Amino acid sequence: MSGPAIRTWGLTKHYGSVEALCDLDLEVVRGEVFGFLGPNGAGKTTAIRLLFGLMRPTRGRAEVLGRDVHRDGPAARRSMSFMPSDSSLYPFMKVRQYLEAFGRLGSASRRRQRDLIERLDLDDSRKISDLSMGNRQKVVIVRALQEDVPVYVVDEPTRGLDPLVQQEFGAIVREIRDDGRTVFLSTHFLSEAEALCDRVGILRSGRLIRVDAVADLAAARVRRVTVTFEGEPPAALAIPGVGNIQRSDGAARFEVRGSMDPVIKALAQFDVADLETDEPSFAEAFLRHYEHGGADGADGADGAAQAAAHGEARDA
Amino acid sequence: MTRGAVLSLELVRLTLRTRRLATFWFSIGVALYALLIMGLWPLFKDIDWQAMAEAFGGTQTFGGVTSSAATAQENAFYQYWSSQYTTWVTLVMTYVGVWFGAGVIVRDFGAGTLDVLLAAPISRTRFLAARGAAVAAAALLVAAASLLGVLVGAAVWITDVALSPRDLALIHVQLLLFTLAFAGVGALLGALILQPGRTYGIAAALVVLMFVLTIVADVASAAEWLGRLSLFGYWNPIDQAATGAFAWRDALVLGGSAVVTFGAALAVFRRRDLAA
Repeated sequence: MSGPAIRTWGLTKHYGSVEALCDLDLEVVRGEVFGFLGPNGAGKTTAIRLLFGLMRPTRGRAEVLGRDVHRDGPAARRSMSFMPSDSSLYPFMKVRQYLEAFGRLGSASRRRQRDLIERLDLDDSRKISDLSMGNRQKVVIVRALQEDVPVYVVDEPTRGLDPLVQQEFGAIVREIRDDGRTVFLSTHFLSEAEALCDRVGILRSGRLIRVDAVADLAAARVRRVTVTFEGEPPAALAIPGVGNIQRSDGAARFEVRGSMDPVIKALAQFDVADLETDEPSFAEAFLRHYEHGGADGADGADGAAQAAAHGEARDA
Repeated sequence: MTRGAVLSLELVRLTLRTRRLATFWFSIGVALYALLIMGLWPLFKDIDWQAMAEAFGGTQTFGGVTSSAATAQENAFYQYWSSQYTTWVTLVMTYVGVWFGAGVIVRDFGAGTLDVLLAAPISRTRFLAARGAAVAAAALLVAAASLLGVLVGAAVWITDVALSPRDLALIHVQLLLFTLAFAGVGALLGALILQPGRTYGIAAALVVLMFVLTIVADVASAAEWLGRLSLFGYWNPIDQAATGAFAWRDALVLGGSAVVTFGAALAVFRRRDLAA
C-alpha cells in the first residue's frame, strides 16, 4: 500500500465561536517520526482527537492509510494506536491485567509487551494505584506501543519520566521508525522534537504555520554574532542578512539570518580581534516562528516562550 | 491476542471486570438480606400485617406496591415481605440500575479511559451495545442472587404459606426489567451530560421525582395518572405474586423503556464530541 500514513484536508474544528483548529492540511509520510509542535491550546490535541473520531470536524476530512477516519472509523483505527496525554488507567487493576485487557481490544503483541515492560523497567505485578506518576506513565506507554500497528499517535509521551526512561523511550521510537512504522508525536517539549523527529509541524492558534524537516528548521535559525575590532567598530555594517546591530566597547553585536558567508567576507575588510557566535537553539527557531505570526502573534509568542522555557528547563 | 470478531465480547468482559466487586457485593448483600427476611418470618407471622398496612393509609406505598393476596396467611406474608424485603430491594436495584447505567459512559469519561476505549477499532454502537450487555449481565446476577436467597429462605423457613417458585421467579424477571429501565435512564443522562457528578446528581433527582409522583398517585386518587409517569408505577411484585399472572403490560413498559432509553443514549452518543 502506498500513500501517506496520515493526511488531512482542511480539517477544522470550532467550539462555538472559538477556532480550535483551522484548515489543517497535513501529510505525514510513512516511516517517519513527525513532531506536532505548539504550546498548550495550540490545537494539537484537538487534531489528534479528530483523527481518532473522538470529535467530529466542523469541516474537512482526514485519512489514515487511505481510510477516512469518520466514514470508516473502526477500520482506520485498526491501523493506529493512541497514547493520550491524560492518564488513562484503571487504578484498581494490576499492571499486567490492564495491559492484557486493553491489548485484547486492539492488536497487541505479547512479545512487544514483554519487551517494552523489560526495557522500561516496569513491574507488571503491581497494582496501578500503588505506582508513582512516572511508573503510571510507563504503563500508558506500554499500553500504546504494545499494539502491532503501522501508525502510533502519542500525545505528550514523556511527561513525568526520568531522563533515563526518556532516553529509552526515544530509542524505542527510533526503532519503530526504523521498522517502517510511523510515529505522530505531539509535544511542546522542543528538545524532545529535536531529538526524535524527522519533520515537525508548528501549530499556532489552531493553524499550521510551518512544516519543515528538523534539520531545515535548525538551519533557518538566527545566529547572534559578536565581533570585537582592533579599534573602533565601523560606523556602517551593510551586510546582507544582518540586522539588530548594537555597538559598544569596540565590539559590534548583531543577528545573522541565513548563511554566515557574506558576514565573513564583509568582516575581512576590517581588523578583527575576536568573533563569537552563539549556537542558536531549536527553541529560538521555534520562537521566531511565533514572533512573526501575525496579529495574534503576541499570544502565540507568550505560549511559545512558555513552551520553550519548559523544554529548556526540562533539559537542564 | 485477538481482535475483530470478539471485540465486543472483550469489551463486555472488561466492563464486567471493572464492575465485578460492586456486582459481587450487591449480589451477596441482597441474597443475605433475602435469607434474613425469610428467616425472620416465623417470628413475625402472627403480626397483623394487613391491619398495619391499613393503619398507614390502606396500602403499602413504596414503589407502588399493593396487596391483593388471595388468602389471609398469604396476604400477611406478602405484606410482611413487601414491607421488609421488596421495598428495600427496590431501592437497591434502582441504585444499581442508575449507577451502572450512567456509568457505561460517564465512569470512563471521568477517569480518562473513554478515549483509549474509543480509540480501539470498535464503533460507538458496538461500544454501547457491549456496555449495555455488561450492565444487563450484572443486573441479572444481582436479581438472580435475590431470587436464590428468596427461594432458599422459602424452602427452609416458610412452611405455612405455599410460595410458588414460578411466581417468585416472575417477580424477579420484573425486578430485572425494572432495573434495566433505570439503567437506560442513567445511560441516556450519561450520554447527554458526560460529566459524572452532574449525571449522577440529575439521575438521583429524577429518581426522587418519580418516587414522589408514585406517592402522590398512591394517596390522591385524582392524581392517580401521575403514577404512570413513574417507572415505580410499573413495578408491582405483590400483585403479581397474588394473582400468579405475569404482568405483561408492566413488563412491556419497563422493557420498552429500557430499549427506548438505551436507543436514545446511542443516538446521542454516536454524534457526541468527546472533548478532552
